[in-house]
Amino acid sequence: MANWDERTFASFYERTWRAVWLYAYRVTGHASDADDIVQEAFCRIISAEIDASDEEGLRRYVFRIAGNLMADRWRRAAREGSWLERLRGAPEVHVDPEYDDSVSREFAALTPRERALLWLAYVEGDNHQEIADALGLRRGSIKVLLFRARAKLRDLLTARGVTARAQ
Amino acid sequence: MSWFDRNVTADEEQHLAGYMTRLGASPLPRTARMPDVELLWVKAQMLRRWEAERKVQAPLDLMEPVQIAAGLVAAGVLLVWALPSLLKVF
Repeated sequence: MANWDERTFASFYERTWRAVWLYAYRVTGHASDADDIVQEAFCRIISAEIDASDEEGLRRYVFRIAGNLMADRWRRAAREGSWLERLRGAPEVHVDPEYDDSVSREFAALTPRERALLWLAYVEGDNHQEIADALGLRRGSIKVLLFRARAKLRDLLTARGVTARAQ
Repeated sequence: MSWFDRNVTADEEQHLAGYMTRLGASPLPRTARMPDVELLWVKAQMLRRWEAERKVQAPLDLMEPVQIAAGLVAAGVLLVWALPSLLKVF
């Protein structure tokens, strides 16, 4: 069990929650989901067998928990969705109005896993092993998955005329 | 980034990195609502305690059906063992 006390927890939370919230928000596309995921991830971290003084390890671990929680939600949504789709005839796509801004529209067009991969690689600066740990994937598959995600995002940005230079 | 070595040119790579940097630096939306850290600490403590209790209770929960099954088997064995005597009595 980690050697947590309230002050250590508060300090870690204050430093980390924003990054985890943005990650969850950009990957799920829903602010309410991000709220839930961040709360649960931070609640779970104090039960983890990890040294509370290892800041980097804790940070990685909380991202990993958040990744697992998001994967659980996708699996549950896929199960429920398949029944609903059969009943309705077509899937219903909900987009958070605030999420659908000019910067993130292309990013939102990717799959959740592609969004998570790109976010961890570019924004968090994680290496392949860290991404694999965070998403519960094999290290060997990260290179290929990242390559595809990058190519897809590039195509989306090109198709919509959005480039770093243009903005 | 050695894994960005195929198909995507260095120029495109810069565009992608710039796009992702802007996305990462975007402000939190108004809808972001995080609970007070003290509240979260209390919740986390409660969950940890509940989890610890659940771990302790798990073997007991597992043994309950085993005890019932053992009781039923013992009753059956006793009945079979006592059946000849019971038949003599009745």
